[in-house]
Order: sequence, then C-alpha cells, then structure tokens
Amino acid sequence: MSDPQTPNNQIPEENAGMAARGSNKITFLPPDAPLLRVDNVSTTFHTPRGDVRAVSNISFEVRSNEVVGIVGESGSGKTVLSRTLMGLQPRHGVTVDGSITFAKRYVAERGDAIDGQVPENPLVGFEVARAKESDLRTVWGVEVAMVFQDPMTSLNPVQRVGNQISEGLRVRQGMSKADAKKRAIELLTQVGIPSPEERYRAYPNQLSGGMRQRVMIAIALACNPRLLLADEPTTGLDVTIQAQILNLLEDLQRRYHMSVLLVTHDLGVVATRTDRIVVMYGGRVVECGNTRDVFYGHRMPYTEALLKSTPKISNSSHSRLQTIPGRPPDILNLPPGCSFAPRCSYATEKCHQERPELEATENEGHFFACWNPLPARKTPPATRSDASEIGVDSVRD
Amino acid sequence: MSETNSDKKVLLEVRDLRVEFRKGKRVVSAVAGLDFDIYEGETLGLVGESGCGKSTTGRALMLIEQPTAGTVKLGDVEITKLKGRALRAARRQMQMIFQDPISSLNPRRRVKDIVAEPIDCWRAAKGEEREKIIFDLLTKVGIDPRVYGNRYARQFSGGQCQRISIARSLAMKPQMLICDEMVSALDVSIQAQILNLLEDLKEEYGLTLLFIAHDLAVVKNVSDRVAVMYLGKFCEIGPSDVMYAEPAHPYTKFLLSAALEADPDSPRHDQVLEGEPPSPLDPPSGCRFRTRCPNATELCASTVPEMQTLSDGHQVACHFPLVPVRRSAAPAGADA
Amino acid sequence: MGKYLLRRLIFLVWILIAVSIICFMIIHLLPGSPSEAILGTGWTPQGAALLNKQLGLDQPLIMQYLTWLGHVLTLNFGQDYITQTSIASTLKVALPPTIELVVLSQLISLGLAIPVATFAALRPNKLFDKLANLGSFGLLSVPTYVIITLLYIPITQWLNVPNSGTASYVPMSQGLLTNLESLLIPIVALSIGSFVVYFRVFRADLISTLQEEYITMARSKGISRRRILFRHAYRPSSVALISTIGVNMAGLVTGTFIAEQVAAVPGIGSSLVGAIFQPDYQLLQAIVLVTATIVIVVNFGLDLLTGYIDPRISRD
Repeated sequence: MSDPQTPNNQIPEENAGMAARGSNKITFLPPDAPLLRVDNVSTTFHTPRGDVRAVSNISFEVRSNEVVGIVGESGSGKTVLSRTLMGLQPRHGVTVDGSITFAKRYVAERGDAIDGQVPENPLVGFEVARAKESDLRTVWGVEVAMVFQDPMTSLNPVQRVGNQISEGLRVRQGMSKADAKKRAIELLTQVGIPSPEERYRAYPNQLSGGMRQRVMIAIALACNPRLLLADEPTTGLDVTIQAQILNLLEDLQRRYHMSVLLVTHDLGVVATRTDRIVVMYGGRVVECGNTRDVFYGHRMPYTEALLKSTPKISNSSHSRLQTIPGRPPDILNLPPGCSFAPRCSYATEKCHQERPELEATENEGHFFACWNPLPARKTPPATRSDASEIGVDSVRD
Repeated sequence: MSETNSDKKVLLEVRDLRVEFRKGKRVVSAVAGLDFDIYEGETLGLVGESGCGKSTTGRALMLIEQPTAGTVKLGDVEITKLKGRALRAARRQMQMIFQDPISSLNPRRRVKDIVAEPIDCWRAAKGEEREKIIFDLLTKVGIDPRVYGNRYARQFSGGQCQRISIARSLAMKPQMLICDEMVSALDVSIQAQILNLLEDLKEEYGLTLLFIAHDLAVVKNVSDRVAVMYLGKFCEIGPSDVMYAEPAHPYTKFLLSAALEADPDSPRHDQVLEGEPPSPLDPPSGCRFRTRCPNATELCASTVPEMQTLSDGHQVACHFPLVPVRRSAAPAGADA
Repeated sequence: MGKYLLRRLIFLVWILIAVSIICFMIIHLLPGSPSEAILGTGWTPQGAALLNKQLGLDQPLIMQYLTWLGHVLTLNFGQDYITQTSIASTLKVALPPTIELVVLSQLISLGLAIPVATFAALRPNKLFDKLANLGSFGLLSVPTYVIITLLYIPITQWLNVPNSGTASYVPMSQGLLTNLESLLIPIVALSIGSFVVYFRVFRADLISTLQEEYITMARSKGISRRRILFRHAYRPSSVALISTIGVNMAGLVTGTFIAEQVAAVPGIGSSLVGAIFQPDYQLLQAIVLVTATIVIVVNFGLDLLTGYIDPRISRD
C-alpha cells in the first residue's frame, strides 16, 4: 500500500481484478450504489486572526454513474469543498470535521455487477477526512481524479504534456515507458486532440486554452477513476470551446461509467448536464435535489434570485434583470441566522436570528434550508428536444 | 450604413478600420477592415471569442491602439486625424470601462479622487462644484459618498470597483461609453446589478454604448444591435432580437447553440463548432470562417463574402446565409 | 531549441570579440606609448625601438589587433618583457589552483545549498527554516577575508589539518590529499560565501513553486512526495539559481583573489594583483582576457542549461 510502484498494492483486498481500462475487466458499481458519501463535513482554516469556517455541515451523496453539480458564487465555499473532498487541503492549519467516505472499488466482469454481486455495503470506510496523505495517494488518480480550473497554472510549464499524462500510468499502474506513451497518445486522441503524437511532445504553453483543458482531462482520466471532480472546468474558455469540453466530459462519463462532480458558478453549465445539483451559499448547502426539481421547483429564495439574475438569450433586449441586492457574504463575518437573510426580500426577524436547517420536500432527495420558503410547485415533465443540426437547415439561394 | 436607418443620427462612423501588429517579419491583422455606424442613443453589442479582435477594435476607436488604416468619426470630428491636445479633448467624449475593475483603479487613491481625476485633469470644476459633481456621481452609481468617498480603491470588491469605474467614466459627461468585458469578472448577482445600473445611467445621461463581451446572453440583454466578429472581421450585424431569433451566419448560429441557458429544458445542440480559430497570422483565404464551416464550398475559399442586407439593418457576410436575402430590400452596396 | 542555441552562439561570438577588443586596447589606452607601458621602468629608446619592431607596434592599429588576435587564439600570449618568461607558462601555473578553488567551492556550496534549502522550503517558517535563514543572513554580512581568518584555528588545530594555512601551496601533482589540505581554508571560505547566496535564492524559489497549482495537480495524481519534489518542483525552481551562479562567476574572480592572497595560493588572483602592482600590462592583459573568456563561456553554458530547463525561455 505504501509502495506506489506496484499497482496491485494500491487497492487493498481487491487487487486480483485490478486492471487497466481496455482489458475485459471493468470496474463499475451497480446503478444507484453510493460512491461518495459526504456526511456533515466542515472545513476550518486556522488563521492568525482566528478560525475561519469556509465550509459548514455539508452532507450529500454521489451515486455511481451520476453527475452532480455544485453551484455557488464566489465565497460560497464550493472550491474549498472540492479540495476537501479530494483531501487536497494542506495538512497544516486546516481542520476537516465530519466524514467523507469513498466506496471501495468493485471489480467484476462487465454485467456481473447487476447479477447480484454487489457487496452488501460498498461504503466500507475509506475515510478521506482522516486519511494520511500516504493512504490518500492510493485513492488519488485511481479512484478519484480532479480537473482543475485553470489549465494554464495547473499544468507544469516545464514538462512535456505527454510526460504529465504518462506519469500517473507509470507510477500508479506500473506501465512500461513505451506502454504508458502508447496509452497517453490514446488518451490524447480520446479527448479530441488532433495529431496526438506531436502534441505528446508539446509543452503546455504551446497549446491553446481549450487544448490545455483537454490535456487536463486526459491526465485525470489516465488511471480510470470512478469519480471525476471538475472544478470550474470551463471557466475562462470561449463559449464554443466550453461546449466542446462539456460534451467531451459527458461523453467520457457515459463511456466509462464515471461519476462526475461538476463544480461551477454558472447555472447554465449544470442545467442540462447534471442529474442533481447542490446550491451553496456562505459555505453551506441551501438547496439540493434533482436538477429539474431545483430549477423548476426551488423553494429557497436564493436559488430563485440566482436564476432570475442570470441573463438569458431568450430575454428580449433591454429586459430588466432581477437583481440580488448587496453582495455575497464575507466568510470571515457570517451573520448568525440564515447567511442569505441580509439580501433576501422574504427575510423576517427569525431569518436574521436563527439558522434554518435543511428540510425535505415532497420530491425525493430535494432539500432546502429556509424559514420562509417559496410555495411548492410541481416540476413539469421534461420537454427538451435536441435541436436540429446546423448546416442541414441552411438556406441556400 | 443602411438607408432604412437614415432617420437615426449617426454618432460614431467607422470606415475600413484596420489594426495590424508586427510579429517578427509577419503581420497580424487583428482588425481587418470594419465598417459600421453607431447611432445616437443606441447600444451596439460586439461579440466574439478570444482573439477575434473585439477588444482591439474598442481600443482602436479610442485611439489607444493606433489604427493602421481607416477613419473613425465621432459626430463631425474625424478623430483619426487628431493629435495631441485636440485628440485628448475628443477622447473626453468617449470613455472606456475595462474588464478587470480592481486593477484598472489605482489601489492607493481615494475613491473621490479617482472619480474626480478627469475633472481635475481638465480643470472642469473646482471647490464646491467639484465636490457636488463627485457626490452626485457616486450616489448615482450606488456608492454612498459620505461613507465610502474617502476610502481607498483597494478596500472595495470587484462589483464596487466597477461602479467606481462607471462614475469616473461619466465625470466629463461623455457622449459614448466603450465597455470592454465590463461584467465578465463579476458574480452573477453582481453582474445583474451592474447591467441594470448601466441601463439606468444610459437613459439618464443619454449615452451611446459599445458593449464588448463574449457572453451572448449578457450582450442580448443590453444591446439594440449586435455585431458578431470572427478573426478580425464582422460576420453579421443586426438588431439583436432579429439576429438571435434567426441567425444568418453559420458562426452566429454555432455561437448561439453553444451558449448555455440556465434551463434544463433548453435545447441541447450536440453538433458543436469543431476545432479552434486559425491563427490570425495566417488567416484563411476568402471567408475567414470557411475552415470550420460545414457549408463551405470552393466559392468560400476563393472569394471574400461581401456584407449583404437581409432585412432592416440585418446584414451578413456569407455566401450562403441561413436566412434568405430579400433582394428588394437590399439595394446594391448598402454598406459603405 | 536549435534556433535558441544559434541565437545564443551568435551573441557569444559578439561578446568575445568585444572583450578581445577591450583587452587589446588596455595597452593602447594607457598614458604614454605602448612601449612605455610594456617596458615600464626598464624603458630605453633602443629597447623601445626594438620592441616596436618586434611587436609590430609601427603597424596600423587594426593590423596590430588582428596579429594579436591570431596569436591569442593559438594561446600564444608572447614573452613577458619584465619577467622575461612566456606569459602562457605563467598562466599555466596560475590557472589550475584557481580553477580547482572555483570548481570545488561551487560543487560544495551547491551540494549543501540544495538539500538545506529543500529542507527549509518543505516547512517554511518552522524551526529549521528560521535557523537556516538566520544563519545564512548572518554569514551573508561577513566578508570572505574575515571568514578565512576565523577558519584558521578550527581547521588547523581543532581538525588538525596542519598543511592548511601554512602558506605553502602544494600542487596537485604532489598528491591530491596534500593538495586539498593546502587549499582547505580558501575552499571552505569560498563555499560558505556561495552557499549563503544559493541557499537563499533556491529556498525562496522552491517555496513559491511548491505553492503552485501544478504541484497540487501532481499530488492529485497520487504520486509520491519525493517524485513531486524532484520531477515537478526542482526544475522550475532552479532557473533563478542557475542565473545566480552565472552572476556569481564574475564575483568569484575577485573572491578568489582575496582568498588566494590571504591563504597564499599562487593562483590567477595572486598573479593579477602582482601584475597590477608591478605594473606588468602584458600579463594583466592576458589574465583579463582569459578570466573574462572563462566567465563568458561558463555563462553561455548556464544560459543553454536554463533554456533546456525552462522551455518557455528557449521557445518563444
């Protein structure tokens, strides 16, 4: 377990079936099996000016094959949360309370999992919150991988991108140099990089922003993780490139039965690409549930305000946006009651004094934290139709 | 530009604007010949992806970037001919607001002095009159001058800094504002506040706006007309409602389909624009978009498409527009 | 990389030409005629006439330069008219101990600075880092000759290395061990001086590199801390260190001169001082030319190394 050179030691107990993607063994849990359970997690930074609780009492679950979005503005704690879930917070000056459990890797022949070979409780405690870095290393890359926000700063500027991809394969899966290179080029092809052999030898600064993000994704995918944590993967990219990257992530998620945690500030990114979303504000979950329930049946006024202040293409020009007065809360100085109360038009005295806890709605898995929630609404059935292709309906005259 | 708009008064007239940069021995044409007018009191949105030249265009209009060729006329003054003091005087009529609100304000100056800078620079007002102007401006942009006037710029958040930038840009009562990605660094809730503020002030001061941004939804919400730019040239320009409903240029359509709506029922376009823009060092022959266009033919490679009019003020530079050209409404050479 | 190499190489040639012109002009820019400068107190009209003819000083300046350059390129520095010896042989004696001093002190200081800086940077502002910082800051303010004086007693008596500090340099040909013993004090002194600078530069760079996002990304791949340090952090952190070595090279010329003087090593530094006080302008010219060329060539090598380490520099 402590020797990273022998891949069979990475995953205790189930090492026999550990195999790279491409063999007949494939790893996936039965649908709906919980993969990641976050239970009452808080992250506290100990600073010279006192303790700062950036993330407070977060609980949610990510099931296998599920895409969960975490949405929040700056200061909502979403980035701290994603680092906490990875166990990537610095070891000094940070305390993580609560428990973060990963399901152990479940290996079976393709299809076997559905035939009853489900371990009774796949969530046998890999406890991220209390794990040593040496233990976390056995999970990183192989079980859970991360796509970072800014590929310019998160790729090593003095290493060829090929080496950065194959490194994980060589160190974690014990591949030979030649095999790792072959696999890395395969990965570059999969993430849609043209002339991958050439790009293998490129340095990050020789690639465009979109290409760099594709490389980031290839690095994250290299060791076949089951959970991909994508922290603002498309922020700073152009719209057409953003669409390419999101489509790529979705495609890979389906192909490899991954679970994806998509952290973003952009409601547009999560609207059509997630199964469930978690809305964060002031370091807490203020609403979570199935994506459609949250978009159409939200109960928390913040969710409503966020939706209404987002400009829409379907708005006519000069249409007035609904605004949220004030600005996002200062995490150093949170109000005693509901963090959103100072900006909320429905706030009462109680909201300022007492913090609301998450409360279930009649929709399954849909929770909100509010003393004066919006009235319950029925979520309309999905009506989405995929649009026609460009070029087919073009008019030629 | 279009005869049907002749009843409106043109404030800014741009003809054949070109900006070229030398890179070693090669020449990058960042802006490769733009013709457009901005009418008094309207907002023209300028969208495009990074590197398309939209920011350079804004800077060239202010002559912060020296245009290689072309003319820019503000009212009756041809500012591309001006130099020195006359140019600076003309620039008073046009102000620019930048993307990064925090770095575009000097962190060690007081808010009051930042806003008063243009006034002091032009010695436009002194003493009590100056104080009153600053007080009014700060109040208008939603910053209480009694509480915040003497604070330093570094003490403010991005949204507040952008408010201060707006106040400063309005100090000399300009006719026109050029906003370069002014809300793209802000949180959604703050972005909405700034956009609404901009609309209010535009009304109150009778401003004309050039709104440069990459976010199509934001541009739609503030603009009367929108121009779409690709590799230094306009693909399409037209009234925003018309153009967003019926994009005529394939690139516009791709951009719109790639834009993400905060709505789970919004249509998903699985066909996205492939690849990335070619290098402006070596733009494709003919139509610059043809290398990524699914409809491209040999004609597109050989001939640069001219701007043609589709309907009132809606023009497209494409050999095969997605919307039929109304021959009757498009007299030859409608564009300058 | 090829283009970068060519660019640096062209630059190198230009610099070397400039240096050779400056060195050549040393003699011509001095007050009086070159023959006065060369012969010094031994000047007689007859001697001067002979010298002018021998050295071709009656020829036009450009011809003189080209002839001189031709000689220098074949390592023929001519005859020293004051000591009546070949300058090349003087250099041949003086260069080895100086090169030995510089190379050994650089190896020792780097060999110590890198691990100490790494240790400090891994836990910034903890006890070890604070002590190392304090110590290096203190040493930074002590001049070399003071360090040498302070080293005498510990090295000669406590460590019992009697050959060191007896003011008798033993060349390498008479046994490596005795040679090293005789050079011990100046080597240690020069190493300390360089160590302090290298430690501070590398520590600062490594701390900021370890905070980079790409280090977090490398961690998230699940690779070991050691690998992160060696494969991901060292390379980007070493650019400033390498350029500091280059700058230090020029400073070492004066550094060795002090060390050689105090520890009585007959190296280039001592010869240089001798040549200045004599004054022996021919020797001076040769020493300046040789040391300048060495410094320039070493810096050229370091430039190439920087370009190799950071591709952003060699591929713009």
